[in-house]
Amino acid sequence: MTTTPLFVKLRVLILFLASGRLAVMLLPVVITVMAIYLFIPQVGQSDPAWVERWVEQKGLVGQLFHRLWLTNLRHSWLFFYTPYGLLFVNLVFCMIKRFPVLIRQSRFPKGVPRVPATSFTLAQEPPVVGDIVRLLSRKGYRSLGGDSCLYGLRGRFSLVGSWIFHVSFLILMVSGFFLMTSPENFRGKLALGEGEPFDLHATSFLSAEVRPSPDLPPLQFWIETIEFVTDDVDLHRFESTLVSPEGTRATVGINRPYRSPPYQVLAEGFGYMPGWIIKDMRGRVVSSGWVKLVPFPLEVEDLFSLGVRVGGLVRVTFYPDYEEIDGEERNRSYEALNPKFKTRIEIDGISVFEGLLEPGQEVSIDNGRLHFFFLPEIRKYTILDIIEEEDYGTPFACFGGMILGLVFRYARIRKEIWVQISENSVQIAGRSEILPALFQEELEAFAGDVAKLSPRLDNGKSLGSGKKIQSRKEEGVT
Amino acid sequence: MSPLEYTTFWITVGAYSLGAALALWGIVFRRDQPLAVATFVCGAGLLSNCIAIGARIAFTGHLPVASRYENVLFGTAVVMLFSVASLVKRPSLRPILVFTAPFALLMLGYALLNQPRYTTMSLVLDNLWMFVHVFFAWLSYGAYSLAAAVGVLYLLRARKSLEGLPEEQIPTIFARLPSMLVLEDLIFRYIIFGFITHVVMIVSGAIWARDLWGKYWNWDPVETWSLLSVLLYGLWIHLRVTLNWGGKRMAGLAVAAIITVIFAYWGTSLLSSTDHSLDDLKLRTPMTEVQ
Repeated sequence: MTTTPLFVKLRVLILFLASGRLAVMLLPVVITVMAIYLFIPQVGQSDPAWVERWVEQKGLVGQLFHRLWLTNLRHSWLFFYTPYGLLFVNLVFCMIKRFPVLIRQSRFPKGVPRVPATSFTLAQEPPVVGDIVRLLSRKGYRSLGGDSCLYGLRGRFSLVGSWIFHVSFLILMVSGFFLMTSPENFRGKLALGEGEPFDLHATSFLSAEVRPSPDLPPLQFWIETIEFVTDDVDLHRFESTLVSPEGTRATVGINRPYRSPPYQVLAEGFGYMPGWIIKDMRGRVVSSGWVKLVPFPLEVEDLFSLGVRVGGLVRVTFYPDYEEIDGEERNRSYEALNPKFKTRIEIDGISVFEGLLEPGQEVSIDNGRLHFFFLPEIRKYTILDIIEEEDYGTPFACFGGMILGLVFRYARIRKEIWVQISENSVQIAGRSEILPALFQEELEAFAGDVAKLSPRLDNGKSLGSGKKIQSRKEEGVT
Repeated sequence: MSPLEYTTFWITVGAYSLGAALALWGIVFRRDQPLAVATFVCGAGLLSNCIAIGARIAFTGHLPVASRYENVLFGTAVVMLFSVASLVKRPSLRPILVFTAPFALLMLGYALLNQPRYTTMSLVLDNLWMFVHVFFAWLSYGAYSLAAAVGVLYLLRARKSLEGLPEEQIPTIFARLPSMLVLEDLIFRYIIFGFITHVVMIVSGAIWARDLWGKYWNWDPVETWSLLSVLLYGLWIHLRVTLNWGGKRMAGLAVAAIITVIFAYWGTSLLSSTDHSLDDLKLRTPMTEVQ
C-alpha cells in the first residue's frame, strides 16, 4: 500500500470525516443555530420591516447580527449550509465506513468467539447442555457450541438498525431541504362557492407564491355541495364534494385533503356567500355582487365595498341561525336556518343605515334614492389550497426507516453470553455492547436460572428436580 | 367538570401532594418507611388520575386532547405512570418521587389554570394522527422526566461528601439506591425510550401537518424547538455510545436537557405565534386574502 505523506493526510482527513467525534462537535452547533433561529427575528419568517426595525433598535449588536446573517439563518453559509453540509458529509462517510462492520456483526459466528476476561464460576454439578440451550433460547439468544462451551448471541442486527436510522435521516436531510420545506412548489389559495368551477390554468388565484406554469398538468373540478355537521353552535365536520369533468367525485375537508397527483387540494376554511343588489328608485340594478363572508369564528364583523358607482362600505355580522335571548344576540348553529345580517352601511363615512336585515329585505340609502338588499339565496363556499406535490413519498419512507431503525437498534441490543462447562463447575461470562451494568444484573439472573437447572448425570441425561437426585442417590442410582 | 371528575381530580391532587411530602420527609430524615408509603399513595393518586380521565372521556366522547386542561391531565397520568411502574420493578429508586410527584402537582395546577370547562373536539384536532402525536409526546416527556429525576439522584449520590465513604457510613437512602453504574444505565435506557417515542411524535405530527397544512414541516417555533430537543438527546446518545462519556456530566446533561422539552411545551408559545397553540388552533381563514 502507498504511504506517501499526501496519502497519509488524506487518510487522516477521511477518518476524521467518518468519525463520531465530528458528529458530536457538529450537533451542538446545529442545536445552537436552531435556538438562535427562534430568538432572533428572521427574514422570510417575520415581516421584513419588523426585522429591519429590530436591527436598528439593537444598534451595533443588531448590525453585527445582521452582517453575520443571523437574521437570515436559513440562507447563511456560515451558520446553516456549512454545519449542515459537514453533518451531511459526516453521515455519508460514517455510513460507508460502518457498512463492512455491520455486515461482519450481522453474521452469526461459525465458531465460539474468545471468552471475555470477566467471568464468574458457579460451583455446582453442571446441568444438561440442552437445558442451557433452551434457557438461552427462551431469553432470545441463538446458541452455538458443544458440551464444554456454549455461546449465545442476541440482537445481531442491532447495528443494521442504527445504519437504517442514519441513512433514513441522511435522505430526509436532503429531501427536507429540497422538498419538505420548499416554497417552490406551487401553492395557490382561492375561495369557491357551491356550483363554481375551478381550472388550474384559467383561474386567477387570490394568493400564490409561485404561479402555475403552462407546462403543469391540468386540474379541473367544480364544487357540487358543501356540508357542515354541527350540533348547537359547534362545528364537527365540514366537507366539500368536488366533481371532475369525467364525473368522478371526491371529498375534501379539514384534515381530509384530496390528492390528485401531482396536486393536493386542501380545505382551509369555509363560510357563507350571500349576494347583494343595489337598485335605483325606478328598480334598475345599479350594482350587485356576491360577498364571501367568513362566519368562522361566528359573530365576527366583516366588511365589503359596494363598488365605485355607489362608493359605500357595508359592515356586516352574519348570524346563520339567529336568536335573541335577554337582549343578547347569538347563533344557534352553523346552518342557515334563520339567517340575519347585523348591518351598518356607510357612504362617504356617514352611517346611512344600521340595523338587523333579513335576506331579501330592502333598505333605503342615499336619502332614499338607492335601495340595497341582500338576495334571499345564500350559498356556502370553501377556501381551497392548491399545492403541487413533489416527491412526498421519500420523506414518508424516511420517517418509517427512522422509526424502524431505532426499534431495531434498541429493542434488541447486541448481547453475548458464554457458558463454559467443566466436570464439576459452570463458568458464565457475558458482554453487552451498551448498558453494561444492567446486563450484569441480567447475567446474574441468568446464572441463578442456570443454578436452578437439574444437574447432569454422567451419561448426560437430566434427572429432574434436586429432590429426585437426592432420593435416587439414596437408592444408590449414582 | 362532572361530579366524578371533580372528586377524582382533587383526590389526585391530594394524593400527589401527600406522596411528595412523604417522599421529602423520607429524604430529609433519611427514613425508608415514608418513601414506601409515598409509592402507595402516588399509585392511588395515579388510579384516581386515570378515573378522572375516564370520566372526562365518558362525558365529552373524545380522547382528552381537545384543550390544554385535558392535555395536561393526560400528561400528568403518563409521567406518574412511568414513575410508579419503574418503582414496582425497582423499589430502591423510590427517592425519585421527591421530583416526579411535585412535578405532577405543578402540571395539575397548570391544568386547572387553563379552564377545565368542556370543549368539543375542533375540526383541526379531530384526526387520528393527532392522537398518535399527543400520546407519543407524553410517552417521551414521561421517559425524559424520569431520566432527569434519576439524573438528579445520581448527582446527589455522586456528591463529594459521599465520595470515598465506606458503605456503612453512606446514608441509608443513598446506600439503598442501585449502584452508580446501574443508575447511569437507567438514565440511558429512559433516554433511549424517550428518544424513540420523541421521533415517533415528530413523525406523526409531520404527517398530520401534511394533511392539514400541505407541508410536513413548517419551521413553526414548537416544531423547531422540538427538533432541537430531539437533537440534544441525540447528542447525549452519541456522547454516551460513541465517546463513552459517563458519570456526573452525562447525568447533568440529562437533567439540563429536560428544560428544552419543558420549554418546547410551555415556552415557545410565549416567544412568538405558533400553529401549535391549542387556543389558536383554528382554521386559517385570512379574510383579507379572500375578499
